[in-house]
Amino acid sequence: MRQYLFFFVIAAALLLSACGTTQTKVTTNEFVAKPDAITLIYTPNVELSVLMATGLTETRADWSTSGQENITNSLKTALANRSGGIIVRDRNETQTARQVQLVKLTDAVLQTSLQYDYYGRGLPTQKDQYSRSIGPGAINLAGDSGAKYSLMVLARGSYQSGGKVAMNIAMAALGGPVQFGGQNLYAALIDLETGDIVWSNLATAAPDADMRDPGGADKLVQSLLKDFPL
Amino acid sequence: MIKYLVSTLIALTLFTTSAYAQSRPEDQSTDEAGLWYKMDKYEQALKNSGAVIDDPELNAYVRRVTCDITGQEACDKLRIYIIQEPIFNASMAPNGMMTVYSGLLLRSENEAQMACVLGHEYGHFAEKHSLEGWRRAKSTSQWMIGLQFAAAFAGLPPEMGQVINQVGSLLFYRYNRGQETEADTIGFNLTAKADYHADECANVWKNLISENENSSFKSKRRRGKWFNPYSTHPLPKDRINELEALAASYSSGQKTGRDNHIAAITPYLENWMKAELLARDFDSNIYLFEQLKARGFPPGMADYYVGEAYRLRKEEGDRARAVAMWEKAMTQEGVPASVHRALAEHYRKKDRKADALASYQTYLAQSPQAEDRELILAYINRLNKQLAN
Ligand SMILES: [Zn+2]
Repeated sequence: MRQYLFFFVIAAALLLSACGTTQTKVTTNEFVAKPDAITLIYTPNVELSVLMATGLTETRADWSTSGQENITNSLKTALANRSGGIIVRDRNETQTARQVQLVKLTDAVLQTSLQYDYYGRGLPTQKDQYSRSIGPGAINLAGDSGAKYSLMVLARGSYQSGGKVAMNIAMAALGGPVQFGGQNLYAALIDLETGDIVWSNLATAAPDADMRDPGGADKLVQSLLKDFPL
Repeated sequence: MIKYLVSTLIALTLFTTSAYAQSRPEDQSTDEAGLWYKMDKYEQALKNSGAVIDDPELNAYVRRVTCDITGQEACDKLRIYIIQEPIFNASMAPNGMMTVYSGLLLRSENEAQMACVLGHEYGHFAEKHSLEGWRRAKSTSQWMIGLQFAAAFAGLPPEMGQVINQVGSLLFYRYNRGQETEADTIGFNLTAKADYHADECANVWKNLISENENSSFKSKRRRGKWFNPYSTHPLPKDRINELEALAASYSSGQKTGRDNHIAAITPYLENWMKAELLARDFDSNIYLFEQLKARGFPPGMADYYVGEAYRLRKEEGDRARAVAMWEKAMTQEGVPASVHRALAEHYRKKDRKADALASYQTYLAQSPQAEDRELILAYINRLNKQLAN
């Protein structure tokens, strides 16, 4: 029993220390930003949920919607003066079938990258460079917008219910399972001519950076774009 | 008395079916809105996936039958996706997304049978069964907290607690027996109200049982009595009894919509039968294809694919059975060009060079765009040379 308590203090410490961090990665290729290039920003893929005492998570439509709006606005503000120009496109708006497929493909590549390059085998210390691409078809995303890059953002978060907070306190004392909520924001910049992900970053929210309110979203996006190359 | 009660129930339900139309939840902070949000995202992903058949004619057909049973107002709120997949299945998500699998369309004898299944799925949606299920999962899973504490007290590793959670949530997030019966009744009522023949709902399950009893796989044959594609649904025997009781109490319409159904499915018949063969359940394939022929689909097409099933099954005597089916198919209506290639292969292996040559030539003449055109031309050249010598 004692040894599990010890284990859990360590685990909790690790989880807590993970708050408010970012992990930037650039591709294996030499990256030179194209001058005055327009960046196409897709509204982020967001899913926020409540973590209940039982351990089930329940999606909250209102939080997800406001999280998506807030992150979109923060991205607009943050990038307004940095790149050659931005175009924001609603990921659900009518697009060509090819574009819809490319957005889907990008989501899949992002999830894979997140799993393998960030969470998985390729731990940060092992390898800071990687190579991921959605292929040269990416240019179809630009359509006639003239965009040279596309920024794709994926956000996931869960928030502990009151019952969960109480349960965690009791569980931590017993050395049982403790689950915290948390928010992650993952971004990838795609070169639309090659389809390569030329830059990506995973930002984990600090306790005061809640994407459900505009101020928190600003903070989160600032840390997400800390090393943004454009 | 019971009969009287049942018909009163039907009358009541028929009367209230117009209240079935479902709307998007307004309060976005509820669990229901969360379910819709999640399903909307899933739908977005499904929409342009390669799995959806977007042929406007087939979609219009399935939508027309659905709207006939649900009524136009409710139907306008549904999005229907036809999925290319050789299994008997349909589903309805809590946000109004209906998915209909090609295997269900292939196995329905007529509009009425398809309507029974789609009406059943629609019943789950109309009665918000997913939401009920989720709420049940949430409340029932409270006991998992107790188990987790028990595990912690017992000094089990923390991972055990997480496993308890995951298993627990899977156990309870399902339709239960009562919801299934309710959905069956709604499916029956909607179908009957649209003037379809009342016996057809029970026939859906009778056909499925027969198909499974003819399976090559022992496990599936054993499941014959109680096989159900939804795995949580009631035993087909019970549901047949219930549906037959409903039908007996109802003065039935005579419409089945058989000809319309066959006309709508026939353009896909070859494709879908080919897909069925991939499951390698050849005995059940042979049974199904023979059934399709009996139901009025082009016999030449059905016979050719029965022959294909024999060829792939490779039991003692199957080669001869396959050839017999192909030769029979040749004399029937609707035979596909592939039969000539199949026979040509057979003749070539039997060293019947002239027959092989003639069949290859007929194949290419009937199917000039064939994918294997180059290969066939090479065979023709070789056979020509051999015959000249
Ligand atoms: Zn059901």
